Amino acid sequence: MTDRSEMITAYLDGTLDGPALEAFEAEIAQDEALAEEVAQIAANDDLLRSAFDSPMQEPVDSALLERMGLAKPETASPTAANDNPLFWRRWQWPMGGAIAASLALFAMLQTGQAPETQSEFASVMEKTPSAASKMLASGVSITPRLTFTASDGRYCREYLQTGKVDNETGIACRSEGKWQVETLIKGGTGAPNPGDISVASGENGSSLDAAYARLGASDPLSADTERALIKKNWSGR
Amino acid sequence: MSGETGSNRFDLRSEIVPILPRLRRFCMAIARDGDRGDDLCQATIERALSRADQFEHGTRLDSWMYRIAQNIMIDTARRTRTRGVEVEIEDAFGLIGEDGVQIVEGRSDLARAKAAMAALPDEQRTLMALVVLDGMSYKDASEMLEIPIGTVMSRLARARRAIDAQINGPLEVVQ
Repeated sequence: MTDRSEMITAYLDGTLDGPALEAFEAEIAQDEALAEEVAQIAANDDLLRSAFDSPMQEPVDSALLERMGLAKPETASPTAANDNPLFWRRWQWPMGGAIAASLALFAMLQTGQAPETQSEFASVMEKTPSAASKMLASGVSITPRLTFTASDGRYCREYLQTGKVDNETGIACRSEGKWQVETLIKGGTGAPNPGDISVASGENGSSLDAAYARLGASDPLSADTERALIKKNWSGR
Repeated sequence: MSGETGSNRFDLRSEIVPILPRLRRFCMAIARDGDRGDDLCQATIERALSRADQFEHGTRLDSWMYRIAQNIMIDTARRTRTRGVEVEIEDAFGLIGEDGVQIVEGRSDLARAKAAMAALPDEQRTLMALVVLDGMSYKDASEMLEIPIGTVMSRLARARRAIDAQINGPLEVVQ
């Protein structure tokens, strides 16, 4: 038998649905004491989330990786004589204050998406050239920013996601006809002017750096190559 | 094509990076002393890397890592218990007076929330960390902890009652 506090718990955790949810919401509407109890427990939950939020706000930079024992054991791979750094270190989109200042870094994989959103998202990744925006039914707007290849041969795209509370910047890679989100972080501004790039400085953008490094990203593909890939449904290799 | 070579190329270290913020939060939440959270997290990563071959591809890396963290917690608690040097959480946090009355004045809400979490029994604290902080579903939590979903719900309900009593009073000793 489910007691009152278990009902509140199930309600707050979103596990009630259908008639059970309707019945409980009707009960809340009629019972002021219950409504207050639910609100108080929800406020406690919020307080807990705030109390343990600091790791979510700290940038995942090289110092943290080092401290956590996640720094690469081997030294950097041999560089060519001209020693060109990879593009994501060389340049960085002007992200304004959003990423740089707050570094509200949520390296959070997109797992909770509804299936229809996923297929819509995949369709945008599949067909939209970089710098063009597409609005999903949910009101979220997706703007692919650039395309590159990962070291495992997959095509990947960096994109900006706007229209939710916070803008988010992510990278999705194509595998067997599907687009898998590799990383999604809070922050990012509207689509930058393509000619308007700035030199990376400090740890800004370190969040995407980690994903770029992990994926072994190539330099961005040219607009022509990207267009050809879209036309051929990404079967370029 | 990439599927066949995928496991060879699999670099656990790189896979952990995207979940690191959540792993740190989980460790901070389940370590009774929040300041030890990063120590626990580091030990978890070290153990995970040394057992990378035991990770089953296609399963959730976060759950696997959380389970390792939880096991380290249990091992540590067992060791300190046999040594008999475990510090009572109330003493560690200095939040509850000798007569069991909460001394909450002058403490921030956040400190109180942390102390309330720390005062929970281990199995309740782990569930709060998984479900309330990390947003894990009851189903995933029940699979990870190998307990029935009904137990997940009743433990969470008990944990929330205890936390409410700690945060909002009445001034009584919970449990």
